[in-house]
Amino acid sequence: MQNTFRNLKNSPLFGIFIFSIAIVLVRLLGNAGFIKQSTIDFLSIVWIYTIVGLGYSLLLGYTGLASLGTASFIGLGTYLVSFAVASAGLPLVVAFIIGIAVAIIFGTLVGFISLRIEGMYLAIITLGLAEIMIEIFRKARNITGGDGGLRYESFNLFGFTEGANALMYRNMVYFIVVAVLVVSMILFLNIVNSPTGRAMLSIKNSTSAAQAMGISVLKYRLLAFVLATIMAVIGGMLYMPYFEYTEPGIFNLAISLNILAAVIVGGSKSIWGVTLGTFVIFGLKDIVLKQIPFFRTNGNAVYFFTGALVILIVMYYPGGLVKLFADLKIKIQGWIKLWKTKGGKA
Amino acid sequence: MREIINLLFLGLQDSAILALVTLGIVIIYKTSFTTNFAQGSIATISAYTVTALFDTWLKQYFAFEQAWIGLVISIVIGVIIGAGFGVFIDTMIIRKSKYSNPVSKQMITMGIILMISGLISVVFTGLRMETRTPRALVPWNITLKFAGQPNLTLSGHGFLAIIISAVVITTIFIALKYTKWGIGVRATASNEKVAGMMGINTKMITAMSWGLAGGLGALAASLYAPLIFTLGPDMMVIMQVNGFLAGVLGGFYTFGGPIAAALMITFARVIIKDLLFGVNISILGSNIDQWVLTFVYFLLLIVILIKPVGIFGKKIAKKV
Repeated sequence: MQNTFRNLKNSPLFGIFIFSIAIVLVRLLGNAGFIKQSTIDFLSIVWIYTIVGLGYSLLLGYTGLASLGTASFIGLGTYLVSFAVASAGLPLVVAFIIGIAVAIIFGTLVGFISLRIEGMYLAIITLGLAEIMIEIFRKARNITGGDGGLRYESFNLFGFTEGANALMYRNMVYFIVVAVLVVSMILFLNIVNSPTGRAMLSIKNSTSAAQAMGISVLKYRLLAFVLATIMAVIGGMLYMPYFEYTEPGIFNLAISLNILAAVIVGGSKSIWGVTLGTFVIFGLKDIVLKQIPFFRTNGNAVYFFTGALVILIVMYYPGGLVKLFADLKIKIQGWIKLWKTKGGKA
Repeated sequence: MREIINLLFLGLQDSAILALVTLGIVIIYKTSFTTNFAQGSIATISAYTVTALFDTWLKQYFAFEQAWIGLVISIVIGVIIGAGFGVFIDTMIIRKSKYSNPVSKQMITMGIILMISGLISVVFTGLRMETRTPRALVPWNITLKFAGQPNLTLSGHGFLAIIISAVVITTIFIALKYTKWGIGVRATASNEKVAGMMGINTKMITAMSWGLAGGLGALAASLYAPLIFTLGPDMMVIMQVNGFLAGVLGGFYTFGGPIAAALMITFARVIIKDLLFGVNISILGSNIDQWVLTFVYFLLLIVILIKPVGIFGKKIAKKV
């Protein structure tokens, strides 16, 4: 019995299990009135961006491709779900399937571009692609509503709508986001710990060496882009039921940069790194810093510190914040050892 | 004739500013081997500084007719501040990460974008300057008369932007060709280590290039803000994207290529827009002439995909 528990504890899924229970509990505590409801609501956004960040981490952390098109794919997701549900009248599940299909097409396209254009130029080209997408959102007025944005407030999540039962609707949004997050985390772990993940890492370290080992650069780059795009589009599709509003101006360069910052700050190779980073970048401002008077009036000042954090971490601590914990653990273990041996001598 | 002059003027006016931005990006690329994503942000914060200096401080000391003196002073200060930002970023940040790869240097410049956007919102939000762009530079416009056609009014500001930009770019090209600094830049660009061995102070060259790029960005933004009548944290994003695309299209290997590409992009946009103006075709709710930017970007991407090294670039063989 003890052995089984130990085995369970050592399984990587155990952490995800504990984490998901914890974040569901936080929500329930919020419902019971122990924590402020509005604060809890921001968590949904953090988890949505974590899903996007996980996809981006496959791209940046594992395959070494710096893309700046993430935000436009989130935007694509919001418009897709609005179009499918509001205009075409499809159920949400079908909308998600359509979203994934579209994401696969777009991801393959960008992936093929990444084969022609490498390294530094890729960021530029994806930035250009993002601009094209935003231009299309702006100009395709019949579908997207143009600059005025698109509002759709009657999403039906398993029978709950905002109008009929706002609290349950908000809860449903949160729980769906958490469910998708958990699935993405498990998927991420499985990919990363499989030959696929190792192939991606080898491509990041040296394309030529990877090719020499018989790894198809085409296949894994496409895969990384497709997965990242799917996660970004799904993030967008979850974003829409939460905000119930979208416009081209939201998904600008700043969001792409913030997702990049989140992945780098937290640690681009681990689910906990991405989660931590996303919380620092997207959650800290609205959940923690709002309590400080300076930040209440100058909310965007937080960008200054996140920018500084990104620079410091890229320059001096490429492992990210999550490595800080691992390093601290080793240090403390070392101290304990030292203290024990010293104690023994005395 | 009227139409041609108008198109030429509009195209030159936009490409003058784009060329300044592009030149800044290329100079940094050549000496630091990274693409500076913060170019637009440095330019934006400088434009904010120029407006703040002129609008809240210098304006009151001059009569309306002499207001341009105040504006020139603020633009000079703004350019110096932009250059200062550039030098600071190079000496304090980029130089310290010399041995990291180009992509992580790119990420550092992306971090700088975030820092500057935070700085802008803290320092300048209270001043509410979104529409108070420094536009008193040239209060007069140029009117051309044509027989049998309505008069053509060209904005004096645009005219000035073209002249300033042409003078600045020509000066830099001459300096690159004939001065010691120019030789240093070209040597550093072709091989930093060997240039260092030959006694060129590559650190100095790199810092000066960043300063120059910052100054060029500041000048571009100060001239651009009055043209679009807004001052915003995102005002230079589109210019910067165009600048990068011009760099890739022209190939980062020469100084002239990207400038030529900047001219091509702008003229393509202006001319296609003019040709399609009034054509009554609606695509997804917008008239066809509003889609020009998207078409031009698509065209650009296709050209870049066919020739990734750029139309003026040459393929460089790489040792593994």
